[in-house]
Amino acid sequence: MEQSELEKNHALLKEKFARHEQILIQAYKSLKKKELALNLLNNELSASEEEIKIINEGLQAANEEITAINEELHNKNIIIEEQNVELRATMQHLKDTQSTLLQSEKMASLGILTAGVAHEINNPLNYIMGAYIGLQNYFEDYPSPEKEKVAVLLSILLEGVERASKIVDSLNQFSRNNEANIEPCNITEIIENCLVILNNKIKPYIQVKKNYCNSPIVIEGNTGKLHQVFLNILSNSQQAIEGYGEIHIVTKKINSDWVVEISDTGVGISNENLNRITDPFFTTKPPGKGTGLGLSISYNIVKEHNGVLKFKSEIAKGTTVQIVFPIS
Amino acid sequence: MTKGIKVLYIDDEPVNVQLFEIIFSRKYAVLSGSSGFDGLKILENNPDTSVIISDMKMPGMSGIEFVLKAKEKFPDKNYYILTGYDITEEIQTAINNGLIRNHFKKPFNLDKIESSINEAARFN
Repeated sequence: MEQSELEKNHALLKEKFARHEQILIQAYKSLKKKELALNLLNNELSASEEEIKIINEGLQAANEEITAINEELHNKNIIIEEQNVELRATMQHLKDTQSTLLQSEKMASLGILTAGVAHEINNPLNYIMGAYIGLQNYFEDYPSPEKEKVAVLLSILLEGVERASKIVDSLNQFSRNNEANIEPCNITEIIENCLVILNNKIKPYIQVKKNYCNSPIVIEGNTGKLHQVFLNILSNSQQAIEGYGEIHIVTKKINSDWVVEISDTGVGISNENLNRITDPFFTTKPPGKGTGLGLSISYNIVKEHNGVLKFKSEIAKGTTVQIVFPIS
Repeated sequence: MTKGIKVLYIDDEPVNVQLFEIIFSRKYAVLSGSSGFDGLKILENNPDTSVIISDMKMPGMSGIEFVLKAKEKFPDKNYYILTGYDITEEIQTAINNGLIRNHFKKPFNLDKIESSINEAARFN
């Protein structure tokens, strides 16, 4: 090969090398750059990882907190529910107390009134009684020629005084509302007293039939309050009867209980109302005619005497009220 | 026999006093007054009175107040209340602690009052 050709080849090769070297350098530089970038990314990644770890920890803490709050909420909910139940009970208690209060206030003013009226009537009754005794003594000392007529007149005078006195006495029973006063109460006498008071409302349309058991029904309790019970029940019976009807009173001893049944041939009570008649303030009477307290109070009074008050009724047939007292 | 028993009756209503005198004078020596003040004076002048019956509701001094005052001076006498009221707590308390022996209701029951007077007089 010629020298020049060799030289030429050499130069070409050199040139080629130089070019390749250039390329290599370029590639190396690029690689270095990429490595740098990679390192950077790597650094960044590990930083992010750290960050994620922290965030994760934060999240976990938050989660725990939420669970705790949730639990607390749940507990509070239970407390609220309990308080709700308590509140409802208090509300009912309040309602009962209110009705008792209203009724006792009514009875208190009735008591004051009846005691006052009783006193004012008893004095003139005392005049008549005294005059009767005086006259009786007089006619004993100075017999009248019309002895029989005088005897009749005198006995009428006595009967009048005794009947009026009996009415005043039964009125007086209502002012006896001494809470602590526990005394023997004769149920039959109480029913009779209430009938005396209702007499003008019962006659002449309503016939009262009585089937009293032979032994006297006596329970320990509060006479005034028991009068309220039977007056309420009997006046309900009377009010239930439109026009002519009957009230049937039965007293009997069943096992270890005294049972009093008061039935009427009145309008009756619907099934849906039957469950509510002892609720305070429940009434089907027109405004001003009933407070809706009578049976609710009666129910509580019977309960205080360890008794039970039960109702059976059929529309247009009538109602039976059963009062059961354990024999003490 | 019972004529010797002195009974004092106190009532502010003249009709009641008059009737009491007419009825009970047949058997007892009846003294009467229209107030507790009267009653105290009568007792001073008649210390041999054995039974005192008083109305409850009177102006100035109630029956129980009168009995309280009378009992201070004459503790051994027999005191009763005759009233148009049904038995009250005040009267019940007076019976329980022995201030009065019993209470009678108006209109009065002759037999009950007479037997009480006779029984009380026996104790004296």
